[in-house]
Amino acid sequence: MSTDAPAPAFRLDRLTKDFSGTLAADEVTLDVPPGSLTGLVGPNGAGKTTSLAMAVGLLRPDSGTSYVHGVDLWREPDRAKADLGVLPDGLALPERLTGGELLRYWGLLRGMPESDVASRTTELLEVLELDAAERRGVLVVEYSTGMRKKIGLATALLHAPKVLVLDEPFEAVDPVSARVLRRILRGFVAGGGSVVISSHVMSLVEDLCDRVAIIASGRVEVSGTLDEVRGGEDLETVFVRLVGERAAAEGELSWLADLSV
Amino acid sequence: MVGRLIGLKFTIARHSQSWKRTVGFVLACLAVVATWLTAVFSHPDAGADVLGFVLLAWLVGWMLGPVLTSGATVLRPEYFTLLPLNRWRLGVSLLASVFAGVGAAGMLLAGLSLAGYAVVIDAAQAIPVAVVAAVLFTITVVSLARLVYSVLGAAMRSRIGVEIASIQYGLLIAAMFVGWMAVSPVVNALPVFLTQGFGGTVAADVVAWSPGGWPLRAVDAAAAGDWGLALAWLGGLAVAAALTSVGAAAMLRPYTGNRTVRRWRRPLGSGTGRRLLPTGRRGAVVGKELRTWWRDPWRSLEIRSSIWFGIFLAVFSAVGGFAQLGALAGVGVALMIALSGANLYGYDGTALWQLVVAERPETVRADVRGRQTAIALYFGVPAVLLSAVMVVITGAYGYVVPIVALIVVVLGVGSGVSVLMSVVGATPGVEPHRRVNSNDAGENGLIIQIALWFTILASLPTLAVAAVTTFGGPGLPVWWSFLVLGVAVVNGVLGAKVLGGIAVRRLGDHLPETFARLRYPGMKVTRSGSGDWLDHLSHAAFEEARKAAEAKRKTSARKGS
Repeated sequence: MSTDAPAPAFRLDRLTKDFSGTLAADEVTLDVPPGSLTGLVGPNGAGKTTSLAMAVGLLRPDSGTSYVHGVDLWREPDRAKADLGVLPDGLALPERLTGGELLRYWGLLRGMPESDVASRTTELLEVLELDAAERRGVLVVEYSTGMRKKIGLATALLHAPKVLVLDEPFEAVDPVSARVLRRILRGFVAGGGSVVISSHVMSLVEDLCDRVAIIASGRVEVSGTLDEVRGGEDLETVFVRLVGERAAAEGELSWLADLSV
Repeated sequence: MVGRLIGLKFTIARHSQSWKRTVGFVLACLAVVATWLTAVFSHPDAGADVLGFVLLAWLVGWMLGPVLTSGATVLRPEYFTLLPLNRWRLGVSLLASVFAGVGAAGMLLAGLSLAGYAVVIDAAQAIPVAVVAAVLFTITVVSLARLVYSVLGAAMRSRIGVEIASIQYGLLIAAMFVGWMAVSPVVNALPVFLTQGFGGTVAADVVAWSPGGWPLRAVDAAAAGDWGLALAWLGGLAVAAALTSVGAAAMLRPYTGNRTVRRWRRPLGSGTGRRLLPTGRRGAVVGKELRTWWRDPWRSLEIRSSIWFGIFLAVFSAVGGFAQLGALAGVGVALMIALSGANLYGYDGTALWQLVVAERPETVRADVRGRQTAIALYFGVPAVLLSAVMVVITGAYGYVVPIVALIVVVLGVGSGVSVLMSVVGATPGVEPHRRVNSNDAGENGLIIQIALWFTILASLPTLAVAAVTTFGGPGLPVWWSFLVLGVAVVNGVLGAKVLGGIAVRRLGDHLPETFARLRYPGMKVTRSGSGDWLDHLSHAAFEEARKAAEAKRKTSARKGS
């Protein structure tokens, strides 16, 4: 990194986690500059979710820390977390509230003025197309997987954070909502915000992100701008080369396509 | 398929805690021996009444037992939803797998005591009838138990089902607390019962006509040489066995419908609630908690079983000849705060992440205090109403002051104990949006015990002055009543403030660790503590939960990363 680069908006600094002998994250280090959209990619079990959980304060690291605009999240959690918006993957929400009630609860808990909470809630539900469900009084427990993702995203955005950390934000989201989501994220970055998303979908990362980091076996193998990492190839080729691909054995799963039987 | 399912059941059972299996085995053996002793040694004149009563007790035990333990759900039908199997065949096979176990074997052995009964009444020719009756009775009882349990699971999707489950839980808890009151007249009468039975009273007819009496009627008919009647009773048993089996198999088919009953209107409290609730952080938490208490079937189950517990407390007191104690019903409801609220964070599953990412001293405090306010309100209103009704019914107006004092102190102290235990002993259950059965919300037996005794201990000052009021007679001065109420208010408020304050500090210091306990069940997440009593308690609760989670993790396909 050159010396005149801006201070990172979000920094993962040598985050390490050992799950009873399995090193889930091994000195994971990553800089997210202001106004950038960074994609974190890696195979299943590579340590993406664990690293992000440590970075946002959900899992205490064995060593290392993270910084939000220079504030150490594990030393000054209240200051650092105030600027963070987080969407974790697959966790529960207050299930017996409607989407609107959930956002109101969340905004007031964050200490936001009631009028802001009310206007932003209405707008977010409308933009994310959850307003019809809200009118019918649908509870979060009755939401589809994609709707759960969207209401989770709304909670991450509600308090207008400076840094967004989104774990698999596009999973199970329909194409129309995905376009909306991309538009929101691009607008957020254009306004100076920073985003980290984790994803398995290379084409999505190539289309959306300007920076990328590839993580495998708990280590960041490479990170930088999209062009630096790709080096003229496509991202999937680079990814497979770094992560390694299991060679197909002769006659592997030959029974699978044998429809004549 | 049955063989494979039985194999799978035993494989999973091997991963459960061994002491639980041992205790289950020993209890089953004791129950079988007791049944045989009853059949062989009770007076011949009383034998039919006594054995009929004991068989009825087996039936009731089988219906209630699975609700208390989680053993009945070893093989959940939904595990097999995606397999290309005939759903009926799967239901029947799952039911058949229920019969392979210590419980069903014990039931059959106990049922075979009918043959011992046939020998005692000197009717060896009735032994074949006794054996057939024992087999049919076993099928009926085991199927009925599974049917009741499945109906309760399905019932968690509806209000009426929650109510039925609540009555069961309320009855069970009341039986554990004050069952001796109702049982003591029975125990005193036991020698008479064993020699004379019900002595031709209505109770004798009730037992004889209940399913527990049918096998005996068949044996008695065979003993009297009335083979037609004996066959008729066996036929009745066979029909009962067939009906319960078909019902149970039907309920064991994988359910693929909606998780919640379809609503036609907005949920209650979504419009008016907003105007009534205070704003700000704490108001937000109170609102969320009150709505959740009202709308979540698993939390409804807690409050409703608490109310039923209070009602049964009054009923048992009346049966035992202490009708005036019925006015304590509301205190019983209030006391349940400590039990029902001992795992508040566990109820919400991994939703605690929201508090972690919004961490500030103010949010943590608002969360704990808001939960305290909500639980005290939600249990307090029915507690006061129930005691008021009971005071009017029993006319125990002289006890109003001590009862009000006890409700106040238990609500205050209980709300403090509840949040403290919820933080220290956070125990994961099935994630809220994946719950099916009534005991899926996760509970920690150790923590519940401690919560109960701790609440009583911390309420002692009020209990002492209330006791003086109750037993001190009419000679006490008027100001004494005000003193009692004053002590109760100070005791209750202090309990809520101090214990809640400890909970706030503990949660603030251990927020990621508390979340980790719910997010990664059974995984050791260390945080160097000061080694104080809360650390020890937390560790003990963790170990309790870890052992339970270990068995569960192997059975449920959880999404992890």
